[in-house]
Amino acid sequence: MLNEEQIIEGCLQNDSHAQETLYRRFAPKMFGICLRFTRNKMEAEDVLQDGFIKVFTYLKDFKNEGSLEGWIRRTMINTAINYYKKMVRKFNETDIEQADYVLMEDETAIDRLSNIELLQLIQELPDGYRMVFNLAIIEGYSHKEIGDMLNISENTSKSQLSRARNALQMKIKKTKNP
Amino acid sequence: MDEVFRERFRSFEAQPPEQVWERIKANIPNNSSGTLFSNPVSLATLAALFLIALIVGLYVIKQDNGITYNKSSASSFTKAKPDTQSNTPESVTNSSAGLDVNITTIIPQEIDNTGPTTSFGKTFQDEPEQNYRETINPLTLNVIDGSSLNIPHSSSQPILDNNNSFVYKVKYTSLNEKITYKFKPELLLGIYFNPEVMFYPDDNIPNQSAYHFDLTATLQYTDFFIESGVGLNLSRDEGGYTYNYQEYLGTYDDVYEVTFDTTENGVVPVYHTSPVDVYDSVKESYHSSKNRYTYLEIPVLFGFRKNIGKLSWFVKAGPAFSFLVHKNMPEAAFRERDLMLGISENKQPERVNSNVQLLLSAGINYRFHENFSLSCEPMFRYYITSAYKSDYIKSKHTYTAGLRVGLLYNF
Repeated sequence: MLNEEQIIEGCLQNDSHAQETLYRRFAPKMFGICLRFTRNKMEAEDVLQDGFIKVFTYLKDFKNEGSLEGWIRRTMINTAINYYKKMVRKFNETDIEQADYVLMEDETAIDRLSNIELLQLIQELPDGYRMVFNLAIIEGYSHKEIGDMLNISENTSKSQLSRARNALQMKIKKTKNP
Repeated sequence: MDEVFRERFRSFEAQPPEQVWERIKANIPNNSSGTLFSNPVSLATLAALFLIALIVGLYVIKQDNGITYNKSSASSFTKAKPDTQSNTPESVTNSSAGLDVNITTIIPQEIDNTGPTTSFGKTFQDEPEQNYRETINPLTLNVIDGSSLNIPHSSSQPILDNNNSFVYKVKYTSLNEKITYKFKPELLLGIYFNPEVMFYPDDNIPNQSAYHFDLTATLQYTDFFIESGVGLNLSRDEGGYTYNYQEYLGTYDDVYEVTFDTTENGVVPVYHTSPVDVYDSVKESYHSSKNRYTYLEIPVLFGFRKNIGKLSWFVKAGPAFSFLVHKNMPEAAFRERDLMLGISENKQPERVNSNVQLLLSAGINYRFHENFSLSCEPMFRYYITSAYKSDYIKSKHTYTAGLRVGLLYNF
């Protein structure tokens, strides 16, 4: 069983066993991230593939000062962001003042949904909503950071998040009362 | 709601299909140096051995080998009219068929009608009973298997020509073996410098420069020669790429679990944390690059040279094989902990590990000393296989023009 240091060293030497070990160790978690940031499994596979190729390409830049998983995670998120930037999708910019964050559903409705069902709800969100929701709620980035990442204003990021929440709550409500 | 999503998906995992790994594996870039020989010492040793082997090989050829005449070959030897008062061996030179053949002649006491007998590989003293003997120096004329032969002439009557010289028509009619004549190929060693400019027929980009340093050995036989050796090609390309990166800002401690320990003072919460790196937003920047490459080159040129006094002119052509031995592609400078995300636009001409070129050149040599010559030759180089691997360069067959100057040593 290779430890993290051995895996990195092996990958830098183009050792295929080390490369496969690294992939097997982190792929499930990274695929989970890719699924959240994309609309379907096929896109998630593309992002996972591009992301791991970047990981192997730039692993020499990893300085062992943070966790390897954190570095791979950031690489994967940035790959997902670039994936959608390439597709030239304009995020709908809505002023924060116009966004109404009113729905306050009871938490039990969400609790009844499985992870797969929740994932499906996230995937059904418009691209902009989905990106901001993932980055803000699950990854913990600030609106300023998200604005810079997605080339949108801070207010737009807040607006997208607000609308994403509304959209999700509407979907949860529909799921609860089809 | 936010908390539910965070809890459910922060560590959410899903198993990707197996074919994803297969695709990744097929696209993992090779991070090794990408050069044919990673160790410069090994390379230098190899190059030196190659050059030594070449010189020794050519020297051996010069000493021991020659061209082969078939048994039906004919030749004529011309020598000065014998001085009948002298019994001193006389050396004459024959240049028939472009060869230098040294002949040592023992002046006959008398000439009989049967004509001279030629003894190959033997001295006159071996057969004193012969009236007339023409001995060809065994160092310059020999039988391939090393044995000596007596070869009778079919037409051996000496003829006095207009230049007051005896001409012996020699026809080897009874010779069953092949006879080897020594020839004197000219061996030259050269050191060259060749600055070049590269042209791109299908691209609108600035011309790049290259410098060649060659050590060559040339073996010339009559007017024709073959030239080979080793050389270094130092090339430089200018370009650049646009990349995305994130600037490292610092870390914070992320609380991923809280447990409660019971102590004497009651229940105490324990916070389990892990450091999380914080990076600035994605930024885009352009890196201007000057990439340098060193290739080992092995040219094999065939040519024609004509002497005019101290000057000679020549033309030559042939393939050259290049192998990348070192490359220096400086990457964009980051602070140690900044995060490089990837290249978004690549305008960097990147060269291949090996390629084949066709060389054409014509020039002159000036022999300023018994053993030294200067050489000057415009050289055209056409890349048969592409010099570049990046899509940025569309020209598959680039070409160069340069002026090659060198110093030659004639052995």
